[in-house]
Amino acid sequence: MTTEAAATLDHLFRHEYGRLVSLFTNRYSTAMIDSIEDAVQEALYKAAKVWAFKGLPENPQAWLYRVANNALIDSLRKTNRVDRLDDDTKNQVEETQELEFAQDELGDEQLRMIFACCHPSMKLTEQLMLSLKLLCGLSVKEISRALLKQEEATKKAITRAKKKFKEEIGKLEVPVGNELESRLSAVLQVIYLLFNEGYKATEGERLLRQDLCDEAIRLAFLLKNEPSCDNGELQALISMMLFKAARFPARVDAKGRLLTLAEQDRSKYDEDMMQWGWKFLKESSAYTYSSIYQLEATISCYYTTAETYEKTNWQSILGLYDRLIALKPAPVVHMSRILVLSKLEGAQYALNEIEKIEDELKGNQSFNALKADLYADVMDWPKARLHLQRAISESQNFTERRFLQDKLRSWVGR
Amino acid sequence: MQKYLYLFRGGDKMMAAMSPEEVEAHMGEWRIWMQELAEKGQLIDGEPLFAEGKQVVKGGSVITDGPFAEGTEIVGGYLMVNAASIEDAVELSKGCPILQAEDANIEVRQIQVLEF
Repeated sequence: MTTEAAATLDHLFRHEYGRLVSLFTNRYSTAMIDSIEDAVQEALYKAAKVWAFKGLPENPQAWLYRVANNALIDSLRKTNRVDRLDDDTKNQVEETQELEFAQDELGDEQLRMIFACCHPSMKLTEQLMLSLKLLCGLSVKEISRALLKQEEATKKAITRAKKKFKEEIGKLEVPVGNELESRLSAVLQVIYLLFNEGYKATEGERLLRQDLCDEAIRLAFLLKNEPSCDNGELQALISMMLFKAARFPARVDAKGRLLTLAEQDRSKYDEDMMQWGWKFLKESSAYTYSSIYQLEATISCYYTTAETYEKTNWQSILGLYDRLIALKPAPVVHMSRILVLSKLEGAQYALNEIEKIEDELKGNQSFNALKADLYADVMDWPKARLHLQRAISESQNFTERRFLQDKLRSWVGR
Repeated sequence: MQKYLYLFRGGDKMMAAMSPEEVEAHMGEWRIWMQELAEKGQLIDGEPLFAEGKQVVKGGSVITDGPFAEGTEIVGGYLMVNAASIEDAVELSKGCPILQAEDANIEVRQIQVLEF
């Protein structure tokens, strides 16, 4: 794998895929998405052949645009689709044939594409997968690997989403007025999910998953450029992502093993990202209401900016979790709060608290792992090991299982 | 030093199935391979070829479209290199990323240079 060579292009092909697919879909129609994707793919593949021999042209984007545009017109001619298009679109196809590539046209259509990919006719996972496919240029295979899903199931979900995309959308647009608010919050939810999927703790596909986080941040900044979308929730979401992404350089050791927050070398945290995280958090606090994203961003800020793990401001974090639970009573929030409580009041207190909400949490994947840690803290080793064994049998992926098994091994004989 | 010609065939199917990221990475591998040849002074020239073309036959009285052969029979590109011997040229070609495709092959031919 030629990481150096690929890195210098900085995902040019993947990002151009998303830009060109958005550009053509915006110009023509969502109904043509299959021909559009094929044409863009063909352009990339032709580019790779020529550029491998002769190096990159002066303006790679213009080169790709021209080749993709020609491939699209060719394929429409071959299938006689040009004749069946309505007159407006037909004129557009003919007119744009020789049109030079307009740099400033880019940007806006990707924004419209985000709203199309997060259309309310689709389920959340379909929105997520379609965004990855059309906007981020990931293949079905890469999406299934990144989201730890079966390839066949991923393919089916994307096909379903595309059917809705073709039939229900037609023309791309940024919603306005009353509709904007609800549509925007759906988009933010997809970006949030995209980031968290990438942030989840797994080792095997670490690079690919980190890319998901980068893509989530990239999409959020596309929204940030549009004044009607640039609200406190978006700023808070960006802030949260930056504070978490700042920890990436410290998340694994030299052997590629995941490190917990307590084990990470904080000097490796990305200072710039933290500064930007601050900036956006401050911006978002200009809005009077406090959103879920704002609470989560503030929590991430406390975790990331603490001098050491021990010096983390648990008291403030607990207060934030109390408010977060009122807005979002999800199991993961409950468990995070319990963990913070154990730092403040001791593990025994946390164990008593957990009993009160055990019924709500029981089905959660990480519940037994949390309980095991709390029992270990109060030196109740038999119970700690019992819960850890349960957690191992419930764990869903190799990395998590390895992490838990290592822990169990270190608890043997205690 | 002798001059040799590489004729590349196949590999299109593999590339058509790649994701944008994989296409980019594959291109990177080609560039590194060619860069190494250039740095060692062994690269002379090379270009990829379009799949479509014409065939001029029967003294030029008949011109046909083509060759429309199977992908693995079409020459997709060529490269000219300097190498000490045919064995050396063959050894050098083994590093070419096109060989990652199962249906790809490289024909290695020595270029005849008439010396007076």
